[in-house]
Amino acid sequence: MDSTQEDERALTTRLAELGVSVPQDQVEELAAAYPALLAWMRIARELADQPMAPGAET
Amino acid sequence: MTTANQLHYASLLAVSDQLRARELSPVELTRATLARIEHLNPKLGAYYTVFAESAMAEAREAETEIGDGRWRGPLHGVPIAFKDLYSLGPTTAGSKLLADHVATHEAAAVSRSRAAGAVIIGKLATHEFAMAAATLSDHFPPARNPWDPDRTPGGSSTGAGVAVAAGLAFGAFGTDTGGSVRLPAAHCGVVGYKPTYGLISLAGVIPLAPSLDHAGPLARTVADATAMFAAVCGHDPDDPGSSDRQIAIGPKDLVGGIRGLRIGVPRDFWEPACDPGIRARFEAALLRLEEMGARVTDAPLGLTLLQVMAVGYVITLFEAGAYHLPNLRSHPEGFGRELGLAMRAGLMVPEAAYRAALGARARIVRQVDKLLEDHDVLAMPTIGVLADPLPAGPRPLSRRITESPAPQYTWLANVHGGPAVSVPCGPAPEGLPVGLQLMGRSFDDATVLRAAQAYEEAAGWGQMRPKLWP
Repeated sequence: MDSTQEDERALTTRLAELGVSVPQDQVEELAAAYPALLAWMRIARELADQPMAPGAET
Repeated sequence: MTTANQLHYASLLAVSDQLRARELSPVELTRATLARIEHLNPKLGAYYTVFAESAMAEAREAETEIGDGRWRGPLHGVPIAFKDLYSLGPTTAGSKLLADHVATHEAAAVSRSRAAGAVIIGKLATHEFAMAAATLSDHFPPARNPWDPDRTPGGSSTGAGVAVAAGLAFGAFGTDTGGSVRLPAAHCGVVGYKPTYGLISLAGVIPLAPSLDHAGPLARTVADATAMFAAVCGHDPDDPGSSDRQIAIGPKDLVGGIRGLRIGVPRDFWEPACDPGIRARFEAALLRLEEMGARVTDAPLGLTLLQVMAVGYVITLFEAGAYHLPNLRSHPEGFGRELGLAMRAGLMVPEAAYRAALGARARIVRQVDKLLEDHDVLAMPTIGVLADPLPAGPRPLSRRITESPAPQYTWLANVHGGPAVSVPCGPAPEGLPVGLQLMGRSFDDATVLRAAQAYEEAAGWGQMRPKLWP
């Protein structure tokens, strides 16, 4: 199983847990965007954790 | 008496002055506006619903009151309109899910406009639930850019931008979660004002992401937008996001010019992704601001556009996904393809990631506040690309959720919460409008509006009209 298939499976499983279905022809599209969504979440987390530059605190 | 059918491109305050002086009839003005809508709306798609009958009744009432010397203020007798997210009669949010929905209560901003004597002329097109980009295959036909009807007017307050730019209303209220007032303003060549978070009530407005949602006016001039804001602002206990701290802004706050105003330009934030034609217009605007006496300096923000948009989108997707979850379960067929997929993506954002994004947001706020200690306003283009052609069908989700998003510099002010205005700064070489965005300290809306008004007056780009619709 490649990473895309793993993403598709993780997505459909998570959504099914929430009671939400995904039409089969849209699973691939959702999975294609998922890595960018993960990147956004990583960017936000890193920004939250990053110390402010000296003198930048107000 | 002035001939009402020659005034469709006049400013709200110009017609207001004539109405107050009884040189112009609200009834004739409303009739002329309705006639123009009837003529042009089939081509431009600005309105979903037109309240011809009630608007004429409101105009007659305004005529009587003004005639009796009971003038209520600048909106009295002036036709304005609302994005179809504001609860008022048929309220669809541009969604098949709500195609037959009729609101039982009015949004607070509608009621306040009504109390100010406005003639409420209709409901305006929107991206589906203020998010999914409009396409030619949507349940509701898309609004079209008056400068090039094959292009988007920008969203999500699409109809508001079109109505103001094409002379189909004298002002319109939109909503703005990541730029949805300022983006259509920029693409349509009009003014869009997102006030400080919490200054205009969102009670009765269908949400996208409540912690980022703002209501705001689109208008032909900064003074018009200010007058519209002043008519509806104020604390509202029915809106959980309504601020206890409120401000009053009047015409006197817009005068005085910008000599000595410190304008910071965060090039590290906006420049890397900007279209060269837009950059050229923006640089010309900076020169004009300097000529007017402003002190324009580079002001590194220390944040990338991707960082700010990632934080904004993670918050938006999480909050919007939670709001739409019940309908995703029970009526998934009611969602357009892009919105349905985006909301499912929102459900994939864990609560911990949402909380991290809120932490990142607090950091962005601190960094912007720090920059605004040494600068009165920040300047940047509103958006770094020109209006796209209207797509034939839904865009792939990876067009929205991407590490190379369309450069919408508007997100910074939503994440920060402070005021921001988009004002026209001339056409790109392609002939399409470009917006200059000014943003400022929270609750210092007056400084941002004063700077925008001074630029508008000096540059004169606000007088540009789309030639297709004389």
